[in-house]
Formats: sequence, C-alpha cells, structure tokens
Amino acid sequence: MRTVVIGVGNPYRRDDGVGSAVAELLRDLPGVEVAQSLGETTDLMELWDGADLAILVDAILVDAVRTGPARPGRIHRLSVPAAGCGAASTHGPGLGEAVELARVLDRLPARLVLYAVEVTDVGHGRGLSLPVAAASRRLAERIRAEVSWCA
Amino acid sequence: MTHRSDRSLSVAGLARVEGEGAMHVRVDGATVTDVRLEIYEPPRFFEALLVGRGYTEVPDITARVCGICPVAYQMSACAAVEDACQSTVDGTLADLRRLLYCGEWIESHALHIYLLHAPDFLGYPGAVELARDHRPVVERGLSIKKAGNELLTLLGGRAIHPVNVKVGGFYRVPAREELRRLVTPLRRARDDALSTVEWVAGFEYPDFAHDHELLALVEPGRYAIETGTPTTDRGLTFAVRAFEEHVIEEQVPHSTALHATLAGRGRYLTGPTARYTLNHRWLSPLAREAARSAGLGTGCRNPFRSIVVRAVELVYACDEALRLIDGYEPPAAAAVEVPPRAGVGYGATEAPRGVLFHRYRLAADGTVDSARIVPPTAQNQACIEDDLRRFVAARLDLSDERLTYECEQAIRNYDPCISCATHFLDLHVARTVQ
Repeated sequence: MRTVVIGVGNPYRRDDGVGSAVAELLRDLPGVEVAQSLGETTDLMELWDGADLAILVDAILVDAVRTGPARPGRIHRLSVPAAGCGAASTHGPGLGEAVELARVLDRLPARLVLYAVEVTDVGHGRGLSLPVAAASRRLAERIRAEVSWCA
Repeated sequence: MTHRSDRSLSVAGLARVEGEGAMHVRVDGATVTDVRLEIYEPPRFFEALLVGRGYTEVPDITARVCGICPVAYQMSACAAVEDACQSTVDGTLADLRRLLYCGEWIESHALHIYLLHAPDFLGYPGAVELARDHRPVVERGLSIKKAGNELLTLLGGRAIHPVNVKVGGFYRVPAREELRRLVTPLRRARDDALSTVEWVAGFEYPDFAHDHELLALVEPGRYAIETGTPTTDRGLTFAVRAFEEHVIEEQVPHSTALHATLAGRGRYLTGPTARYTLNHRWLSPLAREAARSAGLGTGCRNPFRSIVVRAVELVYACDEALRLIDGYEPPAAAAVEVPPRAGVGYGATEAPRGVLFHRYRLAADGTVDSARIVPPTAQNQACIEDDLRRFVAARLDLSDERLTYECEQAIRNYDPCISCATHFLDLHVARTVQ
C-alpha cells in the first residue's frame, strides 16, 4: 500500500502555504511519502503516479457572492472517483488540469482525496492566519487518522 | 458580422502562475489604437530582498524567482557573483553547470511544446483535450520532461528550485555511475525529441514575420547556454558587463515589468528564435540535421514557428547532455573557493526564454549592496505588443472570440509563464455596437 500526502501551494503567500504546513506536520508519519508541490500539473502527476492513496491538501479562496460568506479555516473533503467527475476543477487550475490529464492518461492514483482549506490572506510573506493555522493542525490529525484506517 | 466602430478585447489574469499576465486590445474602426500586455512579475521585489544578504545566498534566493527556470536564475547569479569576486569556475564544474542547464531546457521546452503550445496548432483548448485524442503524443512529451527532471534532481538535489548549486560550483557532485544511469532515459528522450521535431514541423503556421532585432548570447564553437557574449543579428555586440549601457529599461504604466529597448536602436527580441538565428551553426550534427529537415533555415522570424526551434533545442540539449555525461570524470572538489571581495559583477545566461542578466554589487565581506535582474520576459514585452498590433490589424474580419483566441496564441509563442496564465484566463470581450 503506497500512500502519498501532497501539500500544494506557495508558503511565501501566507495562507496559500497551508498545504505545506500540513505536510510538515506529517513528516514523521511512518510508511507515508510526504511531498510539497507548487501545484504544477506534471509535478502532481509524477508525485501521485502509482499510489494506492494520494491525499492532497490545498488552499481555496471562497467566492462569497456565489457560495455565501467564507469561513477561514473550514475544511472541505472531496474524493475524486476513478472516472467521470470534474469535481476538482472548481479548484486551482494546475490541480484541476492535473486530475483531468491524469485521468485521460490512466495515471490517477487508485484513490485521490483532496482536502481544501478555506483561506483568507494570500498576500506576500510567510506565516498562516490564526484560523488557517488552527485548521492545519486539525487537518494533520484528521489525515493521520485517515491514513491509519487505510493502512 | 455586426457593425462596430469600437472593439475592445481583453483577457484578465488569475493567480498562482509564475508571471501573471493580462491582455488588452482596442480597435477603433480599422485601426488598432491600443495594445497592452500587462505583466506582474516579482523581480523588483527580489532585487530589494537580496540587499543585505550574503553573496553565497544569492543562487538559492534567486532560484525562487521562477518555478520553471530556477537553474537559469542560479546560473546567472553564480556567474555575476563569481565575476564580482574575480573567481573563475571552469573545467568539469563548468561542464556540470551546463549539464544541469540542459536538464532545465529539456523539462521547460517539453512542457511548453506539449502542454502549452501544441494544443493551439491542433485546435484543442488545452493539454487534457489533446491527450484525449493523442494520448501517445502527450505521453511522449511527459517522458521527455521526466528525463529533464531526472537530470535536475540528480545535479540540483530536486527538480524545482534546486538546492545543490552554490557559488563556486556545487555542494555535492555526482559519481560517474549516477550520471551513467541517466544515459538510457536521455537517449530515449533524444529519440523522442527527434520525433517531436518531425511532429511540430507538420503543423500549419500563420503567415507572419516580424522585423525585431534579435539578441542572444554567442559563444563561438558551441550553442550558447550558460556563457556567451550578447550579440544581435544586426552586428551589435557588447560585453556582458556593458549590458546596462546597451539595454535601456523603462517603466510603462500598464506593467510592473520594465520594457526594454536597445539604446539608440529600439525594441529587440530574445529567446529561442533569436538564439537559433545567432547560434544555429554550432548545433550538434544531429540537431542541425533535424532543423534542416524541419525547414528551419539560417534564421526564424515567424514567432509561431518558435515551437519548431524549441523542439530542435530539445534534441540539442539531450545530445549535449549525453556528450557531457560521456566525458565526465568527477572533479577533485565539488566547488572552488570563492572568497568575498568588494566589487561589481555581471552575469548573463540563456534561460529557456532568453537572455537573463544579473548584476550585483558586493561589499568587502560579501554582503549584497545592490542587485539588478533583467529577465527575458520583460525584454520581450515591447516585441510581443508590436506583434499583437500587426497581427490584429491583419485580422480585423474575425469575430471577437476568434481574434481574442488568436491573440492569446500570439502571446503563447513567447513565454511559457505567460502561456501558463493565458491557458487559464477568464475572457471578457467588450464591444460597442454602433
């Protein structure tokens, strides 16, 4: 059983670093590959290629007009089925395209789970806003649990 | 067609791309009145951030400027810092730098050709749709890219933002056997690159030619990558240290990247087509033959055909990497000592997208007092706008939608970062009906 956890995002753009923050918190997980990515399409495909379970963590900015007010730190979980779902395309383009391209090329992992954390500050610099930092710790624990069920 | 006097085409940008771009074109009757390519690039931020840092930190900091061409930033930075310290890195360490750079050309060109540029010529909105109909072709592109990534990972420590480059050389150099393991994937990549040249040579290209002055580094005897003298196709040549006397940058209101011109001469173009035009005679025999059979002559002035030039450079980069690996004997030390020294240093290398210039002023203890970075995309902005102006003027009979799409293609000819942005842009076409 090969499991990879991929933190997606840019840690130099504040909350966009939530993916790498979670990845850092999971570095000690035995038997799990932990990686960070800027979300470039082919990079993601390489990272999850051949995995039984790939867990991605990324930041999302909520469009308040369309979906109601944002709640920074709220965690969404999406699982991407092996075929016929464009769910991830609501997400960043690199990731959405990576999922679609991998699907066409039969390079999706057996299971792909996406955790998306609602964020608020994606300005320049390091460090997460308080609600997102708290969410990163909650999410790391949740992924620990999820991985142990699957092992 | 509707009757219109004013047409406004615009493409607005999105985040998480290296280099965010937007395009605005305004047409009044039959005249293109305004063309603006807006680019938001970070180098000014980096230049300020470098001040006060140690000279040995420069390659690691500047690698962060770009996720697609970090090696270019590291190589120009090292060249400039070593110039300031009056140190020279040559022999095997210089060869390893060239080899690392080949890895970056391979992965950057493969990405641009297959995932960003080719869909334009085959009528697909993007790589996913292309892959649906041409799966083996996209697999081939990804496999070439992977060979480049493997080179970067071995020599750079990782594929994006390498960590193994230092002023004076490397932290660690590979054993001969480690490099030998890359021979098979690189040979396969070279075969695939030759097929790539054949493939793209068969595309249909718009009839379009520009008259920009072409600027590239030239290093007699070999195709310029990590060294060379700035040279134009109209006879201008100057030392890297004189770059700022010849290249004048100025602020334009609509872009955070400076527009560059050649002093007393005007706009100029850098990048693969300029490089090919000035360096083609030094391609390896295999790459030269590939260029010949693809119909590239002694120059290339059609920006749409830059995809053919990139494919030929892909062949060359694989070929050159194999040559360097074949002759590799590990050096006695992974780096030469570069003691700090007060002074100014200049460096220029050929990034996948063109000439990348760095200049640093160091204090006696090696602290950076000032930094200047001139990236290729900034240099090419004026040419891209000029291309768009002429391109649109000749195609005013097209619908807004079609024209906007073709303008995006015209931009993608030049720059993988901007291409990356334009593939994911929201389009807003405003038109005034008379």
